[in-house]
Amino acid sequence: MTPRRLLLYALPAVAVVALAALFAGRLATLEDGTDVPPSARLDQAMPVIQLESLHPGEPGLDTEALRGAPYVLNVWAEWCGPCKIEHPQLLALSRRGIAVYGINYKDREERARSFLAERGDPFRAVGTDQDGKAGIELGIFGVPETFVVDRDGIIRHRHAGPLSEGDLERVFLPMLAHLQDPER
Amino acid sequence: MTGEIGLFALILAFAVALFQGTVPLVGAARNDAALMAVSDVSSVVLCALVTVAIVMLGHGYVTSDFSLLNVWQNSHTLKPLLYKVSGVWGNHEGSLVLWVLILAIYGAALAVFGRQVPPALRARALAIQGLIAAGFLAFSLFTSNPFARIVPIPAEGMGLNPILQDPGLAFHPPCLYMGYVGLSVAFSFGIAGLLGKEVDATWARLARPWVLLAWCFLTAGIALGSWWAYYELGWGGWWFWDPVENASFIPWLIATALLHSLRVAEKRDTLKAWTLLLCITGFSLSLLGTFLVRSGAITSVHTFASDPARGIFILAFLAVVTGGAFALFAVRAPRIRAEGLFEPVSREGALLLNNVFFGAAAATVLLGTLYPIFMEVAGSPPVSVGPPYYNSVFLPLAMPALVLAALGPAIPWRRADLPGVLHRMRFAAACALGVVVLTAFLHRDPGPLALAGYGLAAFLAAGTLRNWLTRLRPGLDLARVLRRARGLPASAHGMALAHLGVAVMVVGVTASSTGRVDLEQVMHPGDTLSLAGRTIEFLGVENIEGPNYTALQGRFLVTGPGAHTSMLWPERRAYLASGTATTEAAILETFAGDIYVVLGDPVADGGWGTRLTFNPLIWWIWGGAFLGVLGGAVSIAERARPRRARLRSPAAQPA
Amino acid sequence: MKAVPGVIGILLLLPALASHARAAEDSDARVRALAEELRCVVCQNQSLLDSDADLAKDMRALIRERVDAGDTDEAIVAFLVERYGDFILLQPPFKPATWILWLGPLAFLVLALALARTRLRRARVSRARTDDPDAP
Repeated sequence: MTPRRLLLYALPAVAVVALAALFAGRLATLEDGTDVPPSARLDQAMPVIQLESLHPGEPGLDTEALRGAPYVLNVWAEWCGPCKIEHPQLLALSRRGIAVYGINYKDREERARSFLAERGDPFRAVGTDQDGKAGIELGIFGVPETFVVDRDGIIRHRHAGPLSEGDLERVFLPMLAHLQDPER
Repeated sequence: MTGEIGLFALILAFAVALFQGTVPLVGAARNDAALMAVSDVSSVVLCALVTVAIVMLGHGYVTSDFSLLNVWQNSHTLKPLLYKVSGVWGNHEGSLVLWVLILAIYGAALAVFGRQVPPALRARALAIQGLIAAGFLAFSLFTSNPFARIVPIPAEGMGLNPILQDPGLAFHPPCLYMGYVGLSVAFSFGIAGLLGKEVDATWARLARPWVLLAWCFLTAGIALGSWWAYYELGWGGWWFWDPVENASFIPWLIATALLHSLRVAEKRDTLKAWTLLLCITGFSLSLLGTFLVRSGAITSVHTFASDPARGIFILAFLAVVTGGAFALFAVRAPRIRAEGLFEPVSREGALLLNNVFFGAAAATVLLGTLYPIFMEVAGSPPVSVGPPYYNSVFLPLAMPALVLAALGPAIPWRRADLPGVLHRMRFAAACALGVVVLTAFLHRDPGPLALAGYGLAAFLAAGTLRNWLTRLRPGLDLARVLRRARGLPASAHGMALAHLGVAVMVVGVTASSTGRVDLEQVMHPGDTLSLAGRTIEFLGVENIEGPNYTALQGRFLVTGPGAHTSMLWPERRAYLASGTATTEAAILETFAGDIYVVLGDPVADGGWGTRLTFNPLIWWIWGGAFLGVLGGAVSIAERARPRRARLRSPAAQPA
Repeated sequence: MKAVPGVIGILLLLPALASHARAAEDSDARVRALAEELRCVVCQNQSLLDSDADLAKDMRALIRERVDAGDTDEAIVAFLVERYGDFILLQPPFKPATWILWLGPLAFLVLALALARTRLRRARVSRARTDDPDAP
C-alpha cells in the first residue's frame, strides 16, 4: 500500500473538515448580518436621479445639483413599517445640520405628506418615485435604504433596513464628520 | 398532561438510544451474545417511545391544545383535520420528532426483519442507529423542545402557512424523510462492516434491500415534492434547482450510485471500499441537507425559521458523525481485499463508469449549492447559482449516463467483447435514429436538445426492452413466458422497469422543456385565444369563499378538440388567519400535456393579467418516477425471498 | 384592372405586417428569455419571470421598456448588473471568482475517470497475478 493511496482514502475525511470550517464561517456571518447583499452601487458615482417633489410647487430632487457637499439619501414609504421606526433617526440627523434628502418610493402621495406633517420632515427635498425606477437606479432591495454620498458624488455607504441610534453613533456620524472635513 | 407524557417519552427515548448506542458495541467487541441481543430489544423500545411522543404531539394538534407553544405557533382551530395532523411535521420541532420516529422505525425493522444478518453485524449496525438517534433526540430536547408550554394559554392559534395546506405537501415530507433517514441504515451497515472487518459479498447482499427501500422513498419523495411545486407554486415549472431541492437530490444521486456499486460488491465481491464510501457519503449528505435546511445557512422557500444555536448543534453533530465515519474509513478501508477480477469492458466496468458519472454529478450539484456560501464566507460579492448554471453543467454529465444505462445491462460480467455488445445494441440504435429523424420531420425547428433528448430516451427504452425480452424469450406459450419471468431474479425486472422509467422521464423532461408554449397577456371577459389546438375563452372573475380563505376565481372555458368543453378555475386566495395570499393554478390534464392557467393582477380597464401555458407530456416525468419506484420495489421483493430466487426452478415455487 | 396595384400593394404589405406581428412576438419572447435568466433579487431562488414580487414586476416592466426601445439583450443585462451586481444573474459569469464553480464539474469528472482508470487497471493486474501458477 503506497502512502499516496492511503492519502486517497483519507481524502473524504479532509473534505469533511474543510466543509465544516466553511459552514462554521457561514454561521458566524449569519449571526451578525442582514440577508440583503451588499450594494453594487457602493463606491460608485451616485446615478443621475431627477424627481418631482412630493410637495407640489417645491423644487424636486436632482442628484446632480447635490454635488459639492456630502449628504444622506433615504428611500422610504409611508406603507413601510420599518420606515416609521427609523424616522426619529432621520430627524436627529437633520437636527445635527446634516443634509438629508429623501426619495418617497411607490407611495400614495397624500398619505406620505401627512406622514411627514405628523412626524416631522427631516428632508431638505423629497423626490417622489411613483414607478420605482429611481429605486432600481439605486439598486435598492426594499425600503428603507439609506445612502451616504460624499462631496464628489460617490456613494460611500449603504444601509439596508431601519436605522438605529447605534447605526448613527457608530457609522453615520463619524463617517459624515470625516466627509465634511477630511483634514480632521 | 399529554405534553408532559410526550416529553417524558422523549427523555426516556434519549436514555434508551444512548444505551443502544454503547452496550451492543461492547457486546460485539467481546463476542458476548447476550450483550449483542440487547440491541434488538432496545430498538423496538426506542421506536415505541418515540411513537408515544409523536402521538402526544399529534393529540395536541388535533385537540388544538394551545398551551403547547408549538401547537399555538403552527395550528388553528379553523384548519381542516388533515392539515392539523400534517401540521405536526410542518414545523421545525415537530418534523424533528418525525425524523427520529422514522429513524427508530428503521432500527426496529432491522431488528425484527434482519434475522439473516449475522448477530455481530446487526448489533453494531443497530448501535450506530442508536447513536444517531441519541444525537437527534439531544438536538430535539436541548434546542427544539416540541412540548414547551406557554402561559397564559392563547385562545386561538397562529395558523399555518397556507401554502403548506395541500395534500401533496402533507405527505411529501414523511416520504422524503423515509428516504433521507433510510440511508442511515446503509450508513450503519457500512460502519458496522468496517468495525467488524466483515465487508464481503454477503454484507452487500444484506445491505441492498435497505438501500433499495430508502432509494424508493427518496425517489417518491422528490417526485411528490416536484409535483407539489408544479401545481402549487404557480410558476409552471417542476424543478427549480432550489438549494433545498438540491439537498434531497444530491443524496439521491449518491444512493443511485450506491445501488449500482452494491450490485458489483454483491455479485463479484469487489469495489467494496468504494461502495462503503458511498454508504457513508449518502447519509452524510442527508445530514448536510438537514443542516442546510434547519440552520439558515441557505435561504430557500422551503427552509424553516433559522436559529444559530440549532445551526451550531447540528453542525457539530454533522462533523462528529461524518468526520468519525470517514476517519474510520481512512483507517480500515485500505485493508479491504478486492476479490473479483474484471476487464474494462464488462458489467463491472460499466457500473464503475456509472458511478463516475453519478459521483461527478453529485459533486457538481453540491458545488453549485454551496458556492454562494463559499463566496459569502470569502467576502466576495454575492453570486447566484441558478437553473441556467445547473442545466449547462448537468446535461453533459447526464447524457453519457443515459447511454450507459442502455448499454450496461447488455454487457456480461467479468469480460465482454465490445463488438458483440454493440451488435446487440443495433436494434436500439436503429430505434434512436428513427426517433431522431421523426422528430426532425415533425418539429419544424427541433433544436439539438429535443433531438438528443428523444433520441437518448428511445435508445434507452429500446435497449432496455430488447434486453428484457431476450431474457424472457416471449412466444405464443404465455404460461411458459410467465414461468420464465418468475424464474428470472426479481431484480432483472426491477432494473428493466426502473430504466424504462428513466426513459419515460427523459421524454417528459425533453417535451416540457423544449416544446413548452407560454402566453402571457391581459384578457378581458369574452376574450379568446388558442393554445395547443384548443380555444380558451376568458369568462370573467368571481369572488368566492373557501373554508378559511376568500378568493378571486377566474373562469376559463376550454373548447376542443371538437366540441368537447371543460372549465378551468384558477384562484388567487387570501387566507384570513395568516393574512397571506396564494396563487392557485388551474390545470387541465390531457394526454398530450397540461394546460396550465394562472390568474394575475387586475388591470385598470377591467382586464386581468393571465398566464396560459401548455406543458407537453409533462406527466411523463412523474410517470417515469413512478416506474422507477415500482422497479425499486420489485427488486426488494427478490431479497425478501432470497432462496427462491436462487433455486430458479419453477417447480420449487409454491403456488 | 385598377385593382391590380392595390392587390399588389396589399400583397407587398402582408409580409411587412407579418414581420411586424413577429416583431411583437419576438419582443415578448425576448422579455421572457431575459426575465428567465435574471434573479428576483428580493426572492429566494426565483427568476424575475416566476416572481410575483413588486420589485420583480417593476424590473419586468423596465426590461419590456428597454426591449421596445431597441436595446440589445447584452445592454439590458449590463444595465441591471451595474445596479445589482452579478447577484442578479442566475447564470454566474465566468471570471476569476467563479473559476472553481465553472471548472469544478469538469475537474470532478476528470478526477473520477482517473480514479476509475487506476481501479480498472488494478482489476486486470491482479488477474495477471492470479493467473500466475505460483499463486495459491
